[in-house]
Amino acid sequence: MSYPQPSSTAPVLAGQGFFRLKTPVSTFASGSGGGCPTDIYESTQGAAAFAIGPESDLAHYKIGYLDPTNSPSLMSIVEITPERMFSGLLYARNEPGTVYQPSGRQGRILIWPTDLWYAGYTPSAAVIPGDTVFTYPPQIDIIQYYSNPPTIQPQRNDKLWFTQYLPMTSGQTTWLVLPSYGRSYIDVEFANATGQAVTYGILGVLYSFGNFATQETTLLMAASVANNASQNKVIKSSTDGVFDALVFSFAIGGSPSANASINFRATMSDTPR
Amino acid sequence: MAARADLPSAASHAFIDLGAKWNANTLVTALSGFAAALKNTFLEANPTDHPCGNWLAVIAALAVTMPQTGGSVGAPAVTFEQMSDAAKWVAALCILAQELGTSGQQSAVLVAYNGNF
Repeated sequence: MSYPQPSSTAPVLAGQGFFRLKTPVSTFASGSGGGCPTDIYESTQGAAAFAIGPESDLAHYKIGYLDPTNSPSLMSIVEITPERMFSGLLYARNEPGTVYQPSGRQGRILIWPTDLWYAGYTPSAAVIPGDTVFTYPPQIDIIQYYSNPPTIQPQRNDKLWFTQYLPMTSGQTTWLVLPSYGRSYIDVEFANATGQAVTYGILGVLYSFGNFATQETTLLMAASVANNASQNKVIKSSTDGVFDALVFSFAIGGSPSANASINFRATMSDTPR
Repeated sequence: MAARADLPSAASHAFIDLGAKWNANTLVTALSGFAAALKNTFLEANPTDHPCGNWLAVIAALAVTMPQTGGSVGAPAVTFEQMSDAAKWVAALCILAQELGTSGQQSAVLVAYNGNF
């Protein structure tokens, strides 16, 4: 959680038509309590609509708002996803004396992600210490519209992850953990120009509370990719499933050459193909 | 249930502890008691208290939205989705209190957790 959180009032004062809540998800959940989404944000401005922003890695968010017709709590909650925005006038209701029940908390719009995330996750096959695990925290990206939203449902971008370099040491494995919440189609390309064979594989991960039952599914069995060879893999939700994250493993067979390079790119899309 | 030693432990066991209350058809009482015990712990006037206070608003609202009567042991009135939300949100509050709360607030949340779940 970014705290203090970004202000939803500043864009109003600036005459902007929307508030964009864009921040990495909390890394608080790195201890034994990992796996729970702790982030919760508030907006003291009313909205004409909510939609997932273009760079969101997470796929599910809830919006809580003060609803005088919903007794006894006076709180109604809607969920938005990449397929479904929420369009409708919501008032923040943060005038004095207007409170949620039975907590007595001031009326305001509340926003929180519901996907699971475990900052302390390490692949079960990783050897720690020794192996290197690079984990990319998911981005929260929510747009609160102050004026009429677009008539076309806003989409998440196709996310392109690209690198030509990863540190690789003989005898150790380098792991790359990338969020893939809700993605329907993922194309992964790996070309090896390290001067050595690289054992390369892909796992799909579903996080769990407390890391008690985190699920790892082999999507590409780790196998050797020769120097100057490449490996391509397409992951489809219809055949492989949907995962919170993908884990890529790289284990080099010897000392890399002086200009060791790889070409790794993963394109993640919400559009089934 | 065994008392949880600290807030991260409470968070990681939230599904186990609240799930047992759910199956025993006592989750409404437990969740309401948890929210009520912490009602005055996080102050509206203190901006740093808002994230935890906001989770409490959501948890308390969920508790009064749940079916207040009916059900039995093994056939709870509270729905599966409500139980799932309750566990996630209580865990979130525990972690946030650990990170943002004062030592007094942390103690209060842990006491409320162990006293109700």
